[in-house]
Amino acid sequence: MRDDEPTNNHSQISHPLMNNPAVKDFLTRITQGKGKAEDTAGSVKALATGFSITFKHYLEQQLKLKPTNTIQYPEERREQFPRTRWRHVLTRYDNGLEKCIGCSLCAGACPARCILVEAAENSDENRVSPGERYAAKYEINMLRCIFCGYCQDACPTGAIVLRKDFELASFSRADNLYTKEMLLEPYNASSRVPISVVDKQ
Amino acid sequence: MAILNLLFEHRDVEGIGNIDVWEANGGYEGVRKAAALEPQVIVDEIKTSGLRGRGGAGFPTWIKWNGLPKNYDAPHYVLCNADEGEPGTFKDRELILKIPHLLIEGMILAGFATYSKVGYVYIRGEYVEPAWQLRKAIDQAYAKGYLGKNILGTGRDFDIYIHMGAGSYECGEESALMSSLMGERGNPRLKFPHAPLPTVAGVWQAPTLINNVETYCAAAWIIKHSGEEYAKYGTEKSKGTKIMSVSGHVARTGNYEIEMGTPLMELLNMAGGVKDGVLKAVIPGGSSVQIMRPEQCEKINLDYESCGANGTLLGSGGFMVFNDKTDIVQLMRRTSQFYMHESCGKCTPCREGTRWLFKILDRIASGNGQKGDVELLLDVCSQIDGRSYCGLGDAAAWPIVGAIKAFRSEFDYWIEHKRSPIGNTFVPPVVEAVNPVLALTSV
Amino acid sequence: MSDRSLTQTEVSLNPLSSERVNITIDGISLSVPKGENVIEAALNAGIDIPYFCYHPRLSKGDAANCRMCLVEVASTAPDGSVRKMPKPQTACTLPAAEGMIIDTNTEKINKDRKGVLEFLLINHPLDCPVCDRGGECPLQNNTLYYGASASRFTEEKRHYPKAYPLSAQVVLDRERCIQCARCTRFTDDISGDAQLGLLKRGSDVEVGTFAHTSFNSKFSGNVIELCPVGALTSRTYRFKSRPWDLMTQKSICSKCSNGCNIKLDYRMDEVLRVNARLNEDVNEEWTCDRGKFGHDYISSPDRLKSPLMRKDGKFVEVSWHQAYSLLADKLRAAGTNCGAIAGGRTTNESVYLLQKLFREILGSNNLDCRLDSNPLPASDPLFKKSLQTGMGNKIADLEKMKTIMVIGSDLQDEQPILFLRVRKAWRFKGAKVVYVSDHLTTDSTAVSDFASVNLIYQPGSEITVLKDLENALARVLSANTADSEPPAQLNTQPSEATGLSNNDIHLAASLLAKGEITIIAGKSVSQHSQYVELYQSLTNLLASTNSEGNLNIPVHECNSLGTMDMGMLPGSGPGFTKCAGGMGTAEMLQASADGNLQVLWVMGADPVQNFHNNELAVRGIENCPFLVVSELTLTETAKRADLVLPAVSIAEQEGTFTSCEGRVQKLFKAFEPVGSSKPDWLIVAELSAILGAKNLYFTFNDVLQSISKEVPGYEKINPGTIGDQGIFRTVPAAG
Repeated sequence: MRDDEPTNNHSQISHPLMNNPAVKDFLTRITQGKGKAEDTAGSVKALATGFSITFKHYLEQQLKLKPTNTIQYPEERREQFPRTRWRHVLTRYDNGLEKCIGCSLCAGACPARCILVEAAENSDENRVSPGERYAAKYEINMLRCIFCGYCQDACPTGAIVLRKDFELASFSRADNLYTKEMLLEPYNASSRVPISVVDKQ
Repeated sequence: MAILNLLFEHRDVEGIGNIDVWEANGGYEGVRKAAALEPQVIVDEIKTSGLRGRGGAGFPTWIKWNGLPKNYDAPHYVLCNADEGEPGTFKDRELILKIPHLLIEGMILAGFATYSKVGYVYIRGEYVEPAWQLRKAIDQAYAKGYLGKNILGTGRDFDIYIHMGAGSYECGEESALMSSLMGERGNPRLKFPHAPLPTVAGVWQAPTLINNVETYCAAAWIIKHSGEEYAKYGTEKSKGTKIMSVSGHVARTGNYEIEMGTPLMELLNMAGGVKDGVLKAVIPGGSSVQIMRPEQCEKINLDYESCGANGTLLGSGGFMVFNDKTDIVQLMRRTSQFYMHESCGKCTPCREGTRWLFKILDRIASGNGQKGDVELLLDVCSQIDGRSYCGLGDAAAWPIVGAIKAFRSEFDYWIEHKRSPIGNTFVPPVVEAVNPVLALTSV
Repeated sequence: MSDRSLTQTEVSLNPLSSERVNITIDGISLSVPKGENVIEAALNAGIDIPYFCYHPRLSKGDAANCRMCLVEVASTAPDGSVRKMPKPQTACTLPAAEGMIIDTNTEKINKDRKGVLEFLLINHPLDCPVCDRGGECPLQNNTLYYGASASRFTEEKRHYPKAYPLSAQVVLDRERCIQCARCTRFTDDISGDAQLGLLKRGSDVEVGTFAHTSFNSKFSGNVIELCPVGALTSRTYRFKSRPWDLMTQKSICSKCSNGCNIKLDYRMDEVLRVNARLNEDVNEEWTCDRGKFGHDYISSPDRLKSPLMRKDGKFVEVSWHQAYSLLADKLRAAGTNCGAIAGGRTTNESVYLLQKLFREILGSNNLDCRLDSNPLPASDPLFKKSLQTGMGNKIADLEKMKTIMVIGSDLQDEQPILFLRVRKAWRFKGAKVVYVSDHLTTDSTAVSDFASVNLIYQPGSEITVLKDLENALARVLSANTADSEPPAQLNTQPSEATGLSNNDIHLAASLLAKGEITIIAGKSVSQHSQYVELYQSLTNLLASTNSEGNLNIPVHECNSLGTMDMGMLPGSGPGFTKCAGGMGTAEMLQASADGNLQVLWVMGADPVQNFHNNELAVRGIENCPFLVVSELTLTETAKRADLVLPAVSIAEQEGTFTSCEGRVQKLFKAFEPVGSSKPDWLIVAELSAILGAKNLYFTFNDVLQSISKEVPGYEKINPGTIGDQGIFRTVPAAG
């Protein structure tokens, strides 16, 4: 404990306000148990004045009388900026084939070395992407990722994109290792249109 | 200067392909004469005549003949290039078909002069009839003792073999011909200064003499008569005669043996003038050389210097005449298709460039030309010309550059109006041998 | 087989002329050997000329087709006038001549390079992201440095189906091919099988095999490395990784005794591919297919991860502590009644410590490393003189010989790198080859293809053949002198005994008579029951042509020579020193079968599979009272063991191998051992410590230093000198 730090002793209150004799009197009085009825009434008044401001703003907001800057997260969510870079998504073509060809250029471009790609060869029985090659394994370590977007820049097919989902908190470190299944855009075969994860709100 | 039948002197004699008739007309006199001569005398005679190679390049013949080792220690070869593939040229065909003994005579003389014992005639695969004619003539020459061991008691040996090509234009290029003769892929080989000359290391790494059919025939004439007599004809630097294969829009097509230096228009008149219209263009030396406008034709004499001075070449003598109903763009499209098909595929500029040239010309001539295509054509040509492994790349680029220079307006017309300036809308369909299977599914 | 693969001598690859000429490249005056390729002169001088088809080891006759190395050339006439050649010339084929002036960096040349690259790319699919070559591709690099930024080609590209399987190992993508013909020239010039050729013509040219047969060359993997684009790719490496994801470590191939220098490319502790590492004196830059594609065992899922102990007939995983305790107890109980067999693929360090353990601590001399039938006991002086010393010539010196005789060996199989060297000597250096064997192979390439004389004799008549050859050689040699006896009547009638005519023998003898000969003898000589007679005949042949010492009887496993050097032989200590005799492999197995050998330690060997007498091996191994095996996987021998110790592969340890020519080369460690496995030398070192060894070893360097001090012939070899190209051990005088 530092020397100049006040101790928790009521009899030795040290504060600039104490230089004011009225304040000093008042505080000394009530700490010594000699307070009067007027002392309390003044406090109530002060409280009421303060809370009325709060209440006024509360009403204004509830009744939408004034524009507001805060929103009710998580019930409400702000619109993200168009070029926000958050959670990665592996996209698909309209016919459901994955855009990713497992070229590992994203891993090469990544300054945090957080991407792991292992490729495999497409066959006619198991066609995952157009062409010869697809990513059999695609993992991003989100704890390492610095969301610089270089992977998106490097991607020759536009497969990996950083989108607006920013809720990346989790309870364990292992949960931050995003696998290909987690990153891949869901595909609804019947609709023939890819469902974008961005538009889930 | 006009028609001068030296080689064709006995062309129209009945049965001249038969050795008896040939001998009755003075045949094999040159061989009998040469049998008594020292080899160097034969070479000197050729030097006196000023004969230059008739295959297209016009290289002085005596230098080649003089370049082989002058002894019988190791095998040498005499090769005759009868792979006459240049579009518009058909002189060798007639020489072999009508007067095969003249060629045989020329090759025997070359054998004497260069201390060679073996000659090969590399004849193009399509020339089946001439090959048979030559086969018969060679057999007759063997029977009479002009070929084989101890020819005419001179103690010299000479054998001639016929090798049929397999249908490649490229194998008319001398180094590719040698590859093909050895049973390899018909690809050109390194040339001087990258590798020794054929006269030092040719087929099977042995010294090799290689000449065109017409050159050997002329050599036979020269030895029979004399070098000085041959040198009387022609101009200062182009001696003797040249056989021109006249084709196209003329009244009388065919082979015309003319004296060197004959004006181009005179040959045209001898062939009966332009058929079905007026003269639009002439290609004087086979499809590889630059096309000439009528006003240029007026100035040209048919010899090496005059053609060179006017921006074209005498080449192999494929004299093609076009009347005013010819669409030059279509002509170039067909020409470039030929070179695309015939490129051996060895070097990058020719392999890829000829295909690109054809694709652009095909696009223009099917009404899909774009602005800037002509500049692109010229640029691609400049990237091929002089950069390819052998002359085929140059030969593919020259005619297109020449045609654009002479008839630029027609290219521009096609690109602007999407149709022919001639009003001829027929475009022959193109069959290109490209596998249509696409591996990548469309995206 | 095309004729082209059967022609000999390329001027450009022979020693350069000693005459020097002065040339100028980009204003820099150079003095270079006359006739040297301009591109080599420029690259040596640090001037960059881009190229695709040029390769220093391939003949230049078929090069100059990519046209990338075009330069402007001018020549100076003796009177000082400079004449410029009208066309640009290819630097890769242009021989340097006096007064040549070369410009590599003019505006014109830069435009030509752009043009060539544009042409190369118009039909190239530009699928670099999925191409295995992407990232290490000469076409990418040259385009980046010399190419245009955009193409003007708007037409449709040439298309072919992707991934055409040329063979089980090599996959061809014809769209990516730039027709440089490096691969076809490799099969003509180097491997000699001539299986690849160019098909079709013009822009349809493609690489292929005759009639779509399989590309079953023994050296097919090299074309993958040679290809300047991703047209030829490896089936095993295909799509496994990108170059920037790979780590690389230097290593030595463990597939045969030639000691090829290789690079292990690995990712996440898995070896993905093997590439050749340049060593001009061993493998140059080639590998054989066994070496290139045969290293999948390193990352096999069957690798042992912890010691296994047999309990109630079944293996249970135990800790190293338990394994060591058991083994130490058993060895203590056995006393001198124990033995060890080490295979030829264990490192020098492991074997050295193993023999030290047995000889110095346990007092047993029952040590052997030979599994094949041996005509001679290890203590025989002839064994030490011939089989134990390795080759008489260095591999690189084979190409200096005039005549090479190969006897009793399918060289392309037994010693692939020696085969390439012999073929190089024949094709590029003008050597003549005599092939002596009892059969011809059906392999795609063989010595018999290019041998001047093939002596294919009746099996069993080899001694007669060699005697005939000796006599014929004597006759040929004496015919050169004045008092020659009349030559024997030559005929082509095959003799009944050998199946060879005396004309054939005479032809072979007259080739040998030219001197400077070397003989390479294969397995069927070194394992012949009458080895002594054969050896005598071969040395006589060499002696009569003044080529003593040029007898090469190469060993077969990657460290066979090293294990023998380290003293893993009964009666022969480290470095050929004499020591008390003991039991050899056969005797140990017999003793074990009879129950007379208490403990048998088999390290890096599989007698059940590989011992020449299989019946004895099975009996000995199965009846062994206590068999301990240190191995990578559960081999047939390991399955019958009482204790299995997991060892590590070449990628996970440091160590040294001694190749068949006596070159000691170092293995570098790429990644950590799988599971709890340990290098053999560490296992032995730890056990020795438990058993009370005085000298303790903790690192590889400790052991190598100890070898350097204690093994005669290895004095010069220590961690500081060995480097990554290896150094020769010396052969001590046979003791």
